[in-house]
Amino acid sequence: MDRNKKKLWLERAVSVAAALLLWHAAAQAVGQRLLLPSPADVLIRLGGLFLEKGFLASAAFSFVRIVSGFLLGLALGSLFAAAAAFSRPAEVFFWPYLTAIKSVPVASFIIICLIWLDASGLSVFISFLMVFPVVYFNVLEGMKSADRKLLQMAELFHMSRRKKLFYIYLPQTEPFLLSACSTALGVSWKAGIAAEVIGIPDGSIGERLYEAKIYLNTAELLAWTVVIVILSVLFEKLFMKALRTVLAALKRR
Amino acid sequence: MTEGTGKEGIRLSGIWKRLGNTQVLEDFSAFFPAGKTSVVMGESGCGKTTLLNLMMGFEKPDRGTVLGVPERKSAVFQEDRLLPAFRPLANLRAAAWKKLPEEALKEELSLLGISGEDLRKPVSAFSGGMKRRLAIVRAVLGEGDVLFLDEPFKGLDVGWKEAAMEYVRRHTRGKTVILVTHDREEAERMRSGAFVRMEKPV
Repeated sequence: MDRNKKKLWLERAVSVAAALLLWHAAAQAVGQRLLLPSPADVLIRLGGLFLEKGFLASAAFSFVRIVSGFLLGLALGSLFAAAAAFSRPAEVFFWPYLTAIKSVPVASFIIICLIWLDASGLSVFISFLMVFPVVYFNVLEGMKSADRKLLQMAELFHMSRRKKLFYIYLPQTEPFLLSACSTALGVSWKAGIAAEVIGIPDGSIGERLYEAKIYLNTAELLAWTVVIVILSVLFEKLFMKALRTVLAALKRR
Repeated sequence: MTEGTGKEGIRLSGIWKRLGNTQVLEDFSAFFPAGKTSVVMGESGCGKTTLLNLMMGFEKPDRGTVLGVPERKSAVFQEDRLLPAFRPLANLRAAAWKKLPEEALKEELSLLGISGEDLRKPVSAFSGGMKRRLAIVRAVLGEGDVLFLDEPFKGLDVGWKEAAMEYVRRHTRGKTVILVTHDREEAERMRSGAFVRMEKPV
């Protein structure tokens, strides 16, 4: 680890420690665990959660659905963006749908989807809906910014559309795609869990959060929140690393 | 109007072309015979690259006709236009009409000094001279029926310039080549067809 990285890690550790201390002090000042449990209370509850029988099943239920929604949004968002980049009529055709998805509040979608769909599939769909426009608009912008002179070169050498996509559009779109994924990953978890809290599908993290709220179990609510943050951050790190590795490997061919 | 048969050569007749506020070509006519290396010379800004762009189909003339440009074209552009994120072999594969064996591609690259470690580097890590040499190999292996070379040897040191000129000459025998250059000696050594001197329109 180089010095700058070490320094960054140290700074972050100090800021997290300071935030925990502040939280602890606030909990002491409030003096009511029901309203604001201390970090230690949450940590103890978190340990308890890990040992519970249904913990892994709930975590897996939400993880699989939210990640599926994210991957679906990534795949279809990229595919639609490629279609729009190659065809102006396709871009015009997609525009009202994408703009609507981007602008309509997530709560409205959740409620509409609850009428249309089974609650167990809700987080897949909501996660997909949040990711799809982010990926679409970013990838489209990346493809539109492709170097005109390289595209002329590709025309001259009669490169196939597949070659153009791979050799010209992919490297040009890469920073846009990485940025879209980073943003969309956070959004997919937030929206997916919100959908579960409203739809309350059996065996989901959302259901556990809802129950914690009903029984005024604030420590459990915060413990589940920590679980969500851990799952979301871990998946983001793993996914972004895998994506960067795949993109780099493609360019080494 | 730009059409292609390419049997006799490329004929430009009465070409007028304006770019922005500048009249780049004014009633320009020329003939580049098929199977020969023709040379275009002229001072900077006289429209040499615009002329190539018209023949390559990147620009349309405001007036006049471009006839006889073959369908299969290949080029060394003034700014290389390589794929910076990819390695040299990928750059060649991207532009090749047919799939060439890797060993054959490596052999071609080695003739212009790109070998060993260079093959594992992305082109963005190449020096200007290496990029130029790679662009020359790509154009030659592009197997066009016509090659447009826009100052292809610019920026090469004496040794590599010599090697690159020989490489182009050897690989383009019997092909239609249009070479744009500022270098009179280069022009004399490469030319076997027409010589076109361009002037800025008054």
